[in-house]
Amino acid sequence: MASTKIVARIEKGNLAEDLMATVYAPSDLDPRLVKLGLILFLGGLNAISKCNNSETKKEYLIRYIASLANSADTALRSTQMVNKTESSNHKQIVEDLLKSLH
Amino acid sequence: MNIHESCKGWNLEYNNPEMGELAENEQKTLSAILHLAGDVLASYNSIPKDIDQNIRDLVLDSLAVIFMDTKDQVVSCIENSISMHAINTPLGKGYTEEEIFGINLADEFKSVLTDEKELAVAAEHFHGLHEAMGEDEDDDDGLN
Repeated sequence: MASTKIVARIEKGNLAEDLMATVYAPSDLDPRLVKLGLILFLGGLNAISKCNNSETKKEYLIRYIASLANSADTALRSTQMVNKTESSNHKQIVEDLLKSLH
Repeated sequence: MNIHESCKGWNLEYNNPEMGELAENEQKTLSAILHLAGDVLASYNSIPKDIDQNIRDLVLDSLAVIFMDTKDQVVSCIENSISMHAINTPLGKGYTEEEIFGINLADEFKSVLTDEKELAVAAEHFHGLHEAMGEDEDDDDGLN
């Protein structure tokens, strides 16, 4: 699978250097969205680093990373399910269920 | 297949040729839903005929709102059921955490966060840690 180099940068603000991330992401993913994701990730780190209380800062970082883990895991499990059910009539059943309510 | 429910002064029948034979729990639940619908209609019809029409209209409007809300909740419950199914289905070959992330997420959290309190905070946001924390996933949101 081909990959595309994507660079995201947030200007340093009060930090010594800019926050920057470089990834080689799968080419079939919209690079603009991937870049937005990286900017969000860096922005979250930037925001949390501004927290004055060190204990709170650690807790917010834990919450932030755990939320990312949850989103990543959900993406994985949803992909598994949709790939497995695409060939079956499962998708149609669900669509019919929802249609019957409209 | 049909479901027939009756109570004092009313009876309802749901007929659907496409509906197959129902298991006992399906029969019980769907019959209860039909019965409730009958009871709701009966409650409206039992309002005395000489009561102010404005009261009848208010009750009718409230019932309409309740059932529109119920419809939205049914859509949510179908979507949530699909999500829960996706989350609870074991990851197969090609989809394991080790293959996708290169690590086991729960193990990595436990390795990085050695303080139980910190791990508990992470578990509030990452369902993959619920088992590690000894939580029953069904109790997570108080949904049973």
